[in-house]
Amino acid sequence: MGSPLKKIMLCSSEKEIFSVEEQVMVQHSVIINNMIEDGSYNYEESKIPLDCVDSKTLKKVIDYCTYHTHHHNDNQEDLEAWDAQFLNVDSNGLYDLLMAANYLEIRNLLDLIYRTIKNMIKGKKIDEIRRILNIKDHGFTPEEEEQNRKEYPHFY
Amino acid sequence: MDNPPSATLLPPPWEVLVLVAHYLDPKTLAIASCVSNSWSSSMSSDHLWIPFLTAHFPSLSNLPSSSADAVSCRRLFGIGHSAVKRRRKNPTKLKLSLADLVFAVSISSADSSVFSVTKSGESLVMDPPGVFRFDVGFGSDGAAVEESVKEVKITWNVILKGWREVFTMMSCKGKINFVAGAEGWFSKELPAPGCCSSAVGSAVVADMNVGLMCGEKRSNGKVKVNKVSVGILSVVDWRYISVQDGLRYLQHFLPT
Repeated sequence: MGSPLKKIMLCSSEKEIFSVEEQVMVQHSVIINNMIEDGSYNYEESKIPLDCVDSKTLKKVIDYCTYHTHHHNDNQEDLEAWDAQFLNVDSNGLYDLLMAANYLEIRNLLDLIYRTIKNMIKGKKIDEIRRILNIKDHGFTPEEEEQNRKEYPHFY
Repeated sequence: MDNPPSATLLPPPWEVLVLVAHYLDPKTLAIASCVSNSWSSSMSSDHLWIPFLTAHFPSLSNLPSSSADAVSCRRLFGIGHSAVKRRRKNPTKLKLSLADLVFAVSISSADSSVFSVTKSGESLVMDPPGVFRFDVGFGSDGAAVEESVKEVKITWNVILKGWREVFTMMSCKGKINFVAGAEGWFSKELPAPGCCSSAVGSAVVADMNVGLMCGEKRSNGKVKVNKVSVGILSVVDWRYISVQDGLRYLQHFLPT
């Protein structure tokens, strides 16, 4: 583990550099933790390239990790309220966050997003999910759609 | 996230679907697989469903490969799930009550009636309480019979009051040793309620117990039937079934 005030550099897909407290990323991201631990990160020169994470998403991810590092002693309710506010993004923003959290292996953020997406689907009717997620063309043949309706009539 | 989707909002890319799929419970996974074609391919793969299949329906998870070839694990889980639901199906609602019924029991030998009684449901005495077994008659309903082993014909009909319907619980021949204090037991397999052919048993039998008068009450070499009880017996555990289950069974044959 690095010292708390050390900074590391993250580089988004737009080549924008973000300077973050090392501790914040090490605590949350398995990948970055491994990188620091095995010494492959050079504090003078290295920038960790995150080619599949855009600046907007990276900023969100850093916000999440920073908040949870400094507020991990808050009570559960407050943290959940903060998380809910944090994830108040459109679904495309949510997918970007999911891919970034998966890439950086940020387990608790992944869990949070999985739960959120699951709740978007769980207990809903198929048409409702299609509407919420803006799926205009389901791409099933009429026969496949018919077969699904037969197999799971209570989903429709 | 409950905001209405804007025109530019894209459906989730397949990478997201593949990741999320691992997190879903079987029901949500099944719902998700119906959303669209690309969802279906992300949510239907066997490696997602095998753990659920193994955990919930182990008997379906190792089908012989020749028969399992043609079917996905998702489908197997689906049919396994509905099979369990059918098994757990609640018993049919009980509409029939004892008060709707009349029991008609008779025992006759070749030359004469030995015992005959008609009892309305309200007057039946449950023995023991809560169980479908009833005392239907006492000595006063019987005729005196010479002491001997006699071939008898036994019938037990249940009539829906007002002679609307009738169901024959038992109609059979048997022998009773007409000796003071003796007892006769008779049972007859009952038909399965519902759609099965007679080859599929119902696992219940109609049962009748005939008790003869004890020694001191006999007169001039003749005995009388003293006590008759009838009931429905489960052949699985050899217990009388409950009154509710008995009525549910009868309800099938005596539509009200």
